[in-house]
Amino acid sequence: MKSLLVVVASLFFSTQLKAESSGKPELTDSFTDVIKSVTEENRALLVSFNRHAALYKVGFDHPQFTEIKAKLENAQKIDQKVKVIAIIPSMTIKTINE
Amino acid sequence: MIRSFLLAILIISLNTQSLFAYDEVTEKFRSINKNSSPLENCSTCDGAESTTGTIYSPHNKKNIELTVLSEDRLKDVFKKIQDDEDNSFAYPYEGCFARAHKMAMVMDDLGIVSGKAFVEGQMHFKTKEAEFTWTYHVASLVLVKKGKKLVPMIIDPAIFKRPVTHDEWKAFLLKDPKSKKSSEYFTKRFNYDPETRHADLKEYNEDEIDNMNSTNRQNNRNAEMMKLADKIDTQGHLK
Repeated sequence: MKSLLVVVASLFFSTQLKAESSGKPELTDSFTDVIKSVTEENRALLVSFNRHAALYKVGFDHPQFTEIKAKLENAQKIDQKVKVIAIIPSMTIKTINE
Repeated sequence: MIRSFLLAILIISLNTQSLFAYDEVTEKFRSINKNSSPLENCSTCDGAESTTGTIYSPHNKKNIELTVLSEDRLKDVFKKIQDDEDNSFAYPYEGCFARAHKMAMVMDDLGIVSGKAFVEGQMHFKTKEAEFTWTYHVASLVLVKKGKKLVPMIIDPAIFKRPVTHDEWKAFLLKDPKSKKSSEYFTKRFNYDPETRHADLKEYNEDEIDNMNSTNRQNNRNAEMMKLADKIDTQGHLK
């Protein structure tokens, strides 16, 4: 019973933290570019592009992580441009379209 | 007493001059061509710049010819560039390639042949809005005459509110202990991004001009949206 209460309390606490940290509306930017490199670091994919200078990331916790990773790797293999929608200014990739 | 005072003044002035001695930079100069024409097709040339210099870029083995400006002229040019509302200096997070290209075109209209300075690597930054990393950065490059030396100066109003030396600019980009440089080079003003660093271009590419305009427009919108986002909550209500 006690452990159940702890779980419920921690869930409540983490939800509240998330709401506080995302007090601003989410802003996104979009662009097309050729992928230069895809690497893994600290539970995220780091993606660099030929033209766009920022290093973009996709967290392992992204709901479409596997799908995005496959699209990135496939596009990189064939030097294909991808359309990126990323959350700014954290430069977090939201979606990728080949 | 007066002699010692004068000697002290002389020593101070010599030391001050040595601050501008930029040894690294002078190695890169191959030649100084005085009184050559700054631009062939210039509609607004006023003859203010009558000297060009050449800077050598070892990485891509290029000699880049640039207009030599006086320090006062550089201040004026910087102000004109900074006031260009079509450029996206308010959104420094992305789009340096588009900002540098637009700055080059503004300088063309002023009769100034500029170049570009690139640094590649991992450059980490932390602002109050975000932590982010650049894989490269580019900004405008000109030469300024300081005493008998030609000093490469960088115009990068997204980062600095004044022209800075190439050394100061690089030091800022690599200030974070986690940051590291993989390469650095100079190009002509026509080269748009790192992919074109080896290309010997003679004019701007039309597609890249289109990309420059759309990128600057979009990044100006991003800057406006970020300002607005500070004022509203997640439900779209004013805070």
